[in-house]
Amino acid sequence: MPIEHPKEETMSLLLSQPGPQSPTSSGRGFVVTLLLVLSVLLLNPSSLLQGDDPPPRRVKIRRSLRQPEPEPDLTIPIGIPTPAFAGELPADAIVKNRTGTYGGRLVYAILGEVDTFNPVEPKGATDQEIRAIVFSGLVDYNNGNWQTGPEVAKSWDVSDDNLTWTFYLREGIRWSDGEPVTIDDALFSFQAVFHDQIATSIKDGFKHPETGALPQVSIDRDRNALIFQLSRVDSQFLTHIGNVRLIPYHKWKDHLQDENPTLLQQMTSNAPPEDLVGCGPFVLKNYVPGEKIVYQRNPYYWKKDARGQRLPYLDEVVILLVKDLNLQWQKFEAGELDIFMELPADHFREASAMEKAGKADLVRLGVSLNSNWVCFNLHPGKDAETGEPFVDPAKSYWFHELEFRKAVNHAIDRDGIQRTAFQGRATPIWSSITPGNRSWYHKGVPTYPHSIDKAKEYLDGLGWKDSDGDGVREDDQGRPIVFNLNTNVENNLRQQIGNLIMQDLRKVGIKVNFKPIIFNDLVTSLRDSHRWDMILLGWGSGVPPDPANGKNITLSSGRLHAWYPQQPEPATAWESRIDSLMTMMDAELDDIVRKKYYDEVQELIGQNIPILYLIAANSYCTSKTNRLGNLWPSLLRPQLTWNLETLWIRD
Amino acid sequence: MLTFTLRRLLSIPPLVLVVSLLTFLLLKAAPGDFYSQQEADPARSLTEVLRQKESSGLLVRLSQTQLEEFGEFRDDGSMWSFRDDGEKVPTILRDGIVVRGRSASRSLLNFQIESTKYQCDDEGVVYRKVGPIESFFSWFSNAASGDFGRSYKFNRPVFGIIAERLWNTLILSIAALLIAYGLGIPLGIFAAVKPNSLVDHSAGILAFIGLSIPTVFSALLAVLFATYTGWFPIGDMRSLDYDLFGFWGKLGDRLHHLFLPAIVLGTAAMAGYMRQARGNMIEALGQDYVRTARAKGVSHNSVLFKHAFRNAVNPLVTLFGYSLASLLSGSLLVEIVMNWPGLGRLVFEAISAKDEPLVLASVLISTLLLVFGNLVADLLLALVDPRVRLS
Repeated sequence: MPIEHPKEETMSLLLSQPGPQSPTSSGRGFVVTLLLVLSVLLLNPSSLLQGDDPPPRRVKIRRSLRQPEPEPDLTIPIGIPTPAFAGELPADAIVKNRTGTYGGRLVYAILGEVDTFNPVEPKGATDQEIRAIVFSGLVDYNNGNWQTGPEVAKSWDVSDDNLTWTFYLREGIRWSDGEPVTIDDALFSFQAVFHDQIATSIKDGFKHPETGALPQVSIDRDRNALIFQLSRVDSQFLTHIGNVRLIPYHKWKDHLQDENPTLLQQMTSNAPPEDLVGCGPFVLKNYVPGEKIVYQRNPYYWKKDARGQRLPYLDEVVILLVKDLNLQWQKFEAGELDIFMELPADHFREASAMEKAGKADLVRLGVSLNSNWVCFNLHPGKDAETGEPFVDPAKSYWFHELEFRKAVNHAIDRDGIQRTAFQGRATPIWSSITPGNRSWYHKGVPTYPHSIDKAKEYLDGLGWKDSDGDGVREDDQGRPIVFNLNTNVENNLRQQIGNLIMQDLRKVGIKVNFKPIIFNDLVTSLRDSHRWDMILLGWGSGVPPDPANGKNITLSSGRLHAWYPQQPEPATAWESRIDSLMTMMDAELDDIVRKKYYDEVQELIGQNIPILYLIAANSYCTSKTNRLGNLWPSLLRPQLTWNLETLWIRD
Repeated sequence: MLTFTLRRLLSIPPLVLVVSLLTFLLLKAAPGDFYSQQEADPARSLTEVLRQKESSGLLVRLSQTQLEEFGEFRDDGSMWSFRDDGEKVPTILRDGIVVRGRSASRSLLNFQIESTKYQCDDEGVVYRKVGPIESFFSWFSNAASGDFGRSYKFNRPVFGIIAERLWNTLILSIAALLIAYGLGIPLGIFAAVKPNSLVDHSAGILAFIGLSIPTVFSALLAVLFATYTGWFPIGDMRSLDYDLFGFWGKLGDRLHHLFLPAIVLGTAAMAGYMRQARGNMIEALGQDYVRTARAKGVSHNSVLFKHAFRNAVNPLVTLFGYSLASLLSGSLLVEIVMNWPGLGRLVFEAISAKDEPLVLASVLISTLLLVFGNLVADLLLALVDPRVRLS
């Protein structure tokens, strides 16, 4: 389920915002992979019940293939690393099953700007991605196989009651300034995040959902272990642990005062590069605001490859800060950039032309995890000042009618949206979990295939007919069915989708006034003023793509529970059931059982359709032909650079 | 002239006050604030977002004593009150029954007592929203003592951030200004001396093209030109390997990168100056004193530059004052399209993100430049035209 998204990319946002671009995200190009096309027969449950409907339609669902893990090749030259490595390789260094040649420089561009280098409070998505280059955590999420694995911690265990987690630190690792990484550093990093007066979103996941209590952290010097005592079972605990990046105690101990800690004012964007001491694969060499970030090899990095050579292979990583997407593309076309992630739809043709000309590999990643949806305002409340209901009573009456929502769902032509707005490079969806999410996709979600007849049937059944012949139906009390649809004006693609929906609904006698407004306005009315009828937006996806990250959306008390946020009590029986399923998911560590719970959540939302999921774009990336070794593209951001430590330049 | 200058300088503080107040109120009038995006992020809790707003000064945390003084108030259909039980957070009572912060915040997320707005987070911490006027005056009093605040986005003092970019923008604008004046005025004079000649018409066409093509479009064309010919770099201010070059290499690299954006900006501005210079010159050349000068045998060049040009130059000097003011903001679109790491881009992003301290500081700088630009223009005018007296 949904989660965050690129800021600046858009910005992290989550309501996947203006995104300077449009759909698409990555793909994998080298080894051109076959698209696995699964034809899934999706039956409409309601048509089964009634038995007299047209034959069920076939809906093609394209699923992404798992990108193959790169294989080691023992014949390639080793090369010479500059700068050279320093210090000893620790005895229990992580061994990566890869080979590569030292040297070279990887160049790519991002849209964002560095807000801060401080890993304790990364502000935007850009910060989160660049902090991973310099700072490592106890555990690390592998975008290639979608699993969390050991990093600075060599292993961990969980007590039988699932409340005590013990992480054993790897010995012999050094910071990029040569000092050893100790258990005190690990403890200090968590104390910083848990500090009462440090405002950081990383802390959120650790909090008890009711009391806000944080886990107790302690250390066991004999076992070189960090011990967490939780007050509840938390299935996402490892993810939260991975979000905390280690910072050196010897460097920052004076900045974690009890009162008014100054830690967040350190490691800002104008900090000297030698201040950024981490244990990630690279260290900052040079940052020029508005121009570039240059990283070079961390000489003390502590992983090795299949031949026993130390990582990373790359001498330097250069990230250009290019604010304009077209310019970024021109630079890629001219060969100034090695890779281009999240290819926007308008450059797809050029990218495939480059592929044909042998200049670039187009990586097809399949259906992205970001969804587009429309939602009705089901808020029953009143404005405290004026006493007026948030939603016009007539509209509220229509929206609360399940048959009406089903009619709208049948009326929307998702295939038309796919063809027109996305030029075919998208997939219709029926749930927030798109087919691209192999772990959580559920085939059993009810679908409402495009059928004007069915839509009309539902509306006729309600007795809402066009009695005055003006092409707009009136409800059983004679009120014409007219309402507003809003989306954010910054997103062109969404405006196209909105126009198509307006036309589709017109065909069944529902009149929609489509009004794109600015994003901040939209969020304000969604959250505070509740004065909207129908809204078109999208959810982005976080890493890892686990539905637990979307609790703010799914729970009836959530502030982004779009159709009726922050309910004092669950408004309906099915929302109450969803709440308890989400709570059960939190307390269950077995992913198979968790998936069963979440399948039910998806079915409940699909049956009651307060929110109509529409379409997910396909995702593409490009890279220079045969330029990079060990590429392992992933649907999850950052698609091509998440494994920088093992990438190498082939020239 | 001294009194004139002093008087002008004295008018600066009230002007700055008014301009910054207006900017501030406009920023506050638009919906949302810097943290709206974070609030729309399902992965962030409201509690942490509110904490960040507190550290930015948008919210003020209330002490438990202050909360107790509220007494009972009505919100969302219930009676609420706060009690200090010596815990870290106050005890919240709804209709006399103790409730947890988490469930209270669903109702009390936004509440109002006597037109003051408050917010209560999931942990029962209550904040007061700082109104626009109050926050303006706290900003202004800090600014008066030299503290212009920290950018919300970068968490650093604003002038440090601006200084990083200021120089880049100045280089580009000054280069463009040199092109605009260096080409525009001679061309204008030339066209005026031979009106309706081929040169005049070509210059006229050039001017109309320059005036009518938006700079964004010509910037895009320039980028395409660079891509297809490979003669110029595609955007940026300097090469990736700039630091490895020697002095001449660096200079050459800079000029190479500067060429296209400066031409784009310069030609657009040049058109205006050229038409202005042409018009003034034609008018001056038709005056009696020019005929008199010619009649008494003054050489052609001397008539042109000593008599006609010096009389035609006044409006250009005034225009120059305004162009100083646009030095920092005039290149915004070109900066974005051609990836020039300048101030315009920074401020544009700050405005869209509502990073108020950064916007205010840059508006302040632009205001000062406008005032000084006008002052300089007036002083120059007095210098070149003996008829103008400043007193």
